[in-house]
Amino acid sequence: MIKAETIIGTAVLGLLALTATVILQVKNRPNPAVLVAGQAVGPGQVAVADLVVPPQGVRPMSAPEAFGPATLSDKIDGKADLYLSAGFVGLVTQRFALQGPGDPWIEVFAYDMGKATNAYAVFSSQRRADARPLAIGDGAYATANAVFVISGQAYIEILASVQADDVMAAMQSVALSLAGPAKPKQVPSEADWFPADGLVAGSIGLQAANVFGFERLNNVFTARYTSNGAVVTVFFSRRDSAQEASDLAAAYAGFLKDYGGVSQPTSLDSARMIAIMDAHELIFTIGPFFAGVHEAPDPDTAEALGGLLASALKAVDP
Amino acid sequence: MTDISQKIDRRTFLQRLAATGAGMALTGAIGWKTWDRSGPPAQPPSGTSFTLPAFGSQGAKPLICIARGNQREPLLAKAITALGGIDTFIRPGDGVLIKVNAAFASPPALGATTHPELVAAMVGLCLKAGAAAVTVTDNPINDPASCFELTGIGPAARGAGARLALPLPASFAPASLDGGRLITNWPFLAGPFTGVTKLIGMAPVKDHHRSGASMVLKNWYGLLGGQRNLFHQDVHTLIKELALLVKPTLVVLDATVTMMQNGPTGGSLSDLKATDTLIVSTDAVAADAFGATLLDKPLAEMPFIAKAAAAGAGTMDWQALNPIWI
Repeated sequence: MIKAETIIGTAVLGLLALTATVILQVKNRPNPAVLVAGQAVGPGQVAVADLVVPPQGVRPMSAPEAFGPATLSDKIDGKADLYLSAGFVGLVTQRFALQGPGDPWIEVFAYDMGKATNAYAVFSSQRRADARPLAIGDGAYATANAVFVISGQAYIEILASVQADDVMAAMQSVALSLAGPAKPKQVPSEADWFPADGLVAGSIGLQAANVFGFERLNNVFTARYTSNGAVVTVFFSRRDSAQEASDLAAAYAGFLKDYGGVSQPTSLDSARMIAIMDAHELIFTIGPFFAGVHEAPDPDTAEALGGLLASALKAVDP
Repeated sequence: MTDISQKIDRRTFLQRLAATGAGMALTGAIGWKTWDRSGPPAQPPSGTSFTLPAFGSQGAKPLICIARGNQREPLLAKAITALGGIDTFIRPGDGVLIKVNAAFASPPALGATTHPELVAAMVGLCLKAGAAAVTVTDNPINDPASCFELTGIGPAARGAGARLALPLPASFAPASLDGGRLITNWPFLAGPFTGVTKLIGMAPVKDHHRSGASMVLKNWYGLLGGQRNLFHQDVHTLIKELALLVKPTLVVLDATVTMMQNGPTGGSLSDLKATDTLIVSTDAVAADAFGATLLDKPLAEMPFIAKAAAAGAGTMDWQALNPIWI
């Protein structure tokens, strides 16, 4: 028969082992308030180190660094707002050294934006004018020294220290290892609702917050159009109800007038035309859509583009 | 010494076990109670407060030179010559501190940080004028050592004969702006100012998602420690207060290329535009006011310039200074 002392002694040893285990777990749990470097990656974050398959000749140059909402500005300073307002969850970055003249290197920024639409918002709102599309992930483009990719809820930037063909090839290889080849659907379906006539290729984007400087205006799809020799932005935002869209239109009109905007007549049904700072803003609603033309050079251009957009949105079954 | 082979009775064993258990429970309770879940603050203000002297020439008419071209080193030399020569600003024996923008560990080609060529050129000019020592410093956003090396600023500064002053915990002392609302008893990068008689600010012209622009006034932000990202909530007031607090000998604003979008980090060469200009001035507000004209955005989107001017930190009417164009 086992003595009671033996049972109790074993229990005490077990308790000590349990205590040690808990201490080790807590010790290894990253604290986002103080973590600025290290390999620790929190729940939901995209782990670069785990996902990147570096091409030949590419080797890690630094340990992965993880950033959360409280520390994002430690990495990207004032640009953090852009991501935070779009639903940012976490960022993991890592630098990789390449072989070649001048010791080139690249840095991978893998943002977890929580949702695919959030990733699309930060991807599209920063799209560069000289973007060259790439068949990677849910959408990608390259500039002379950088590759930008979305894949699901991840937004990935790969930036190089120099502009060189072999460096670009390495960046695309890293991008492929992170996001895979192009998937069939590259952008949210709302992007298909813009009329095709005059649309500037690659100009469709999603603005997450504080659109046109108006705090209440969020989740707005924008696109640029060529009209009468000018490039003009048109936009729409699907709200939860027609009433909300109408309220938002009234509030935006008030915002423009607060900053010197003056109402002008327009022939477009149920629309408002507001002249402000040598430009013309046309706004209207169609069901749950709040839509319009932003900073048109003249009323005719605003009405022409506004009419096109209105027709396109009327054909949509929201 | 206790004989461990000596048998103890059941009561004694249970008493000792209870005592041991109570000790463990007490230890655990103390650990739980004193566990700092949020971690230490970045830089708690401590030590003797630091007062920043004025490094500019008091009462002298502000000067500004706007030099056009894309070769940084000769542009700087020409601009300094046009303003009276480096001897006008740096005297033999001076201790010179150059505050660069080394905020990010990004390569110089991306235009997010002060260009190393410009740093080397300025260090060389100061030493040529007889400066006893030239120190280059910043408190970067990212890891300081990586920032200074990968931006090229560190090697350039050392190569030209300057000393690098990386921010250490002991480098910070609390500083306040008289009448300031935000900069009160705030950790300030005071250490590199020891023995300094002249201060030069050097920054690129950049778009900035939060403040509209980052130029020489915003560059003083890198003199702050602590959890300074809190200031982003009222960044224009903060920059105004920095403009009042920091009175430099000279500022150099590099707009040979300008980051037009996606600032302050940029990342793509396509975020940059060749604007072929270098501004050298004794008035940081005037330098920024001119720099703002290169960003293709209204001045209203950079209200810190008007705020700084209204507070008396300088003039935003750069044309009133009769700029020297070269």
